[in-house]
Amino acid sequence: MCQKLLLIFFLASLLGRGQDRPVNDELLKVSFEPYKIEKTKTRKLLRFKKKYAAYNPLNYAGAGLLYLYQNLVSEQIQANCSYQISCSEYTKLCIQHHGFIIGTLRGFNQLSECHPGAIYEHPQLFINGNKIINGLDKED
Amino acid sequence: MIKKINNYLIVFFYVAACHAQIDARFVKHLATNKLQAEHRAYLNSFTVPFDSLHYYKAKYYLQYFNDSLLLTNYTQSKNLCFNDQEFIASASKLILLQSKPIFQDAWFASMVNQENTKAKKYFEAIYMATTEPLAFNEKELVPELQKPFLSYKKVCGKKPVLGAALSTVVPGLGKWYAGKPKSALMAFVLNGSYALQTWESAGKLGIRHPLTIINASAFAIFYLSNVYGGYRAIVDLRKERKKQFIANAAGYYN
Amino acid sequence: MLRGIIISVLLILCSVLLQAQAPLADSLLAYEYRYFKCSNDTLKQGILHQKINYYLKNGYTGEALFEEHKRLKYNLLLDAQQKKIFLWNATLVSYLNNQSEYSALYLEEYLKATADSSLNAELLKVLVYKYSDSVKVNRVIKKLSKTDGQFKDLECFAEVALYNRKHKNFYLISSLIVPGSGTAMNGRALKGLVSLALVGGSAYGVYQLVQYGLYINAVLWGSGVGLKFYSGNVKLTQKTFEEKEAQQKNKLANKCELKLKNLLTKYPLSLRGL
Repeated sequence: MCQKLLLIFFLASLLGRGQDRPVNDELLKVSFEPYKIEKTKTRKLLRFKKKYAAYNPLNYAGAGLLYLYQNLVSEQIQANCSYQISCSEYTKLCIQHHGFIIGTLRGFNQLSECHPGAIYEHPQLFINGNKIINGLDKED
Repeated sequence: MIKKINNYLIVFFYVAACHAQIDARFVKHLATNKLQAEHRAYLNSFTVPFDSLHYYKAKYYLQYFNDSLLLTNYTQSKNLCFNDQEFIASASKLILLQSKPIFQDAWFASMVNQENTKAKKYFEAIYMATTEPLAFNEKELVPELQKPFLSYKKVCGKKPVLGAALSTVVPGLGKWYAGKPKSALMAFVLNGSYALQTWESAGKLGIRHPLTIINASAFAIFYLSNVYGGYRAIVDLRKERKKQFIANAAGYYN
Repeated sequence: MLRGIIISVLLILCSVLLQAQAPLADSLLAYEYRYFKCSNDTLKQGILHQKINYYLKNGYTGEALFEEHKRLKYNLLLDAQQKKIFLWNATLVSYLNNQSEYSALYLEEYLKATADSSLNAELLKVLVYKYSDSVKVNRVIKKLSKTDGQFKDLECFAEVALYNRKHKNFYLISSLIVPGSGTAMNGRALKGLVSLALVGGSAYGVYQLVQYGLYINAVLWGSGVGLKFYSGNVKLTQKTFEEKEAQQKNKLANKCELKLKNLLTKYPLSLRGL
């Protein structure tokens, strides 16, 4: 009896042993759309850092204008921005963090500094390839 | 089956061994192979806290940088941490480069009463140079770091408000004052051309004509951003040159 | 009888305990500890192989596992079977992590070690080389179509790799003559219309400025805005041309992928030795 039980247990443990694991689903997920052209992502400017900023219609007007610019005009212009974050995207970021007035001024200031010579006016640490690394600091 | 039993026995012995003391060589092995999950699991397997555990946790949070947890564990194992000069140097470097000023102040304040070692002296000097650049004598630094420090000190001596005032008088002058001559020229040309356009359209079409209003608005917004830019140029250059100086300093220490 | 029942209950309890899953990180840590304590380099690789298998058994195929594969020196694996299993799984894991160079490398090593010409190995070759080496893929397809005619469908991968849209310059010149026309012909009619409106509008604006004698305005608006729109329209035509090419390649590739999916369902590929 004991031997029989042992035999059953042994056979059961054999059944429980791992088999080859099929990976078809995962494999097919990898291979789709191999020639995808990456589009530059744009942020949606609807949430603001300061609470009262959500009630300022100017912020939404700015957001709307920038949305129209980025989706209609931006690709129609022969422009090669010197900054890693493009001027329109940077303006959005600044409006989000600093409000409409400062945000717009910062954006236009970057626009007026967006020329090929600007790269020589920043320390080496802030240059990545042929682009200037910009963005908001932790302190901002 | 035997393999499995063998595995679990090893786990059992290993867990038992773990609770005795930390295997420093094993931690080093985990750190060099960047096995983050295993590294964390190993440190978390010790349930009773002790000094050396905090020291190794501080090292872990230095490698996978998290400044607040690094500081928490460092304060609980200060003496052990301070005996490891490599740790002090790497932590000082990363905190100076990546942390907020509040963490920087806490880090260097905690080192005040410690023994004067090479790493402490070196990074304290860098910290002093970055927090009070105008009072700091560049000769205290090694010759290789004097040039980046002087360029940082130079921009610290300039006043952002004066930059904005200069830009108000002549567009771009504030940027010139900050040390950005190319951007200054660009701002001058841009503002000049918008001013010319406005002047021409106002003269020929009248001040209420839509083209004059468009030209004047464009001029106004670029002019105001130029005034703000005169202020910003100095503030931004200060930050950038400070980070460049710290990066140079950290690189030179290595 | 009672003795037998007691023994079997004990054995079942024992097996439940052994099958019980410890947290993944803890088990990985145990393997790593064994690896670290082991002084023999060959044995070390064996332990690392067990660790890799543990990852796979838990259904993990992510980046950390790929890094473990890179750590393992497979030439030191003594057991030939173990080496074969490692190289096969490594090919699949690298492929899953989008590391095409590594998957090709592991596959080459696998084929060197085994000279495997089974249907699964040939199918894996198609998977790894489908977009990079059309000659190799065609050779494999020729061989496989002898066993199953359905494999002939995979010849489309070579067509995808060789596909190129023609007459690029025609679109560009057409946009130079009529702004937006090239973009519209690439299937983006709205963008083409916007191009035409912007360039046409700027040209008309500049013309009007000249008519009113506003020469400074004409020069500055014309060079600052008009010219940028004009050259931007050509750039946009080039972009839409490339997008359309990629789109059509993707369309073809998707059809091929569906055929490959059917074949993979028929002849599934699996991670081995788990």
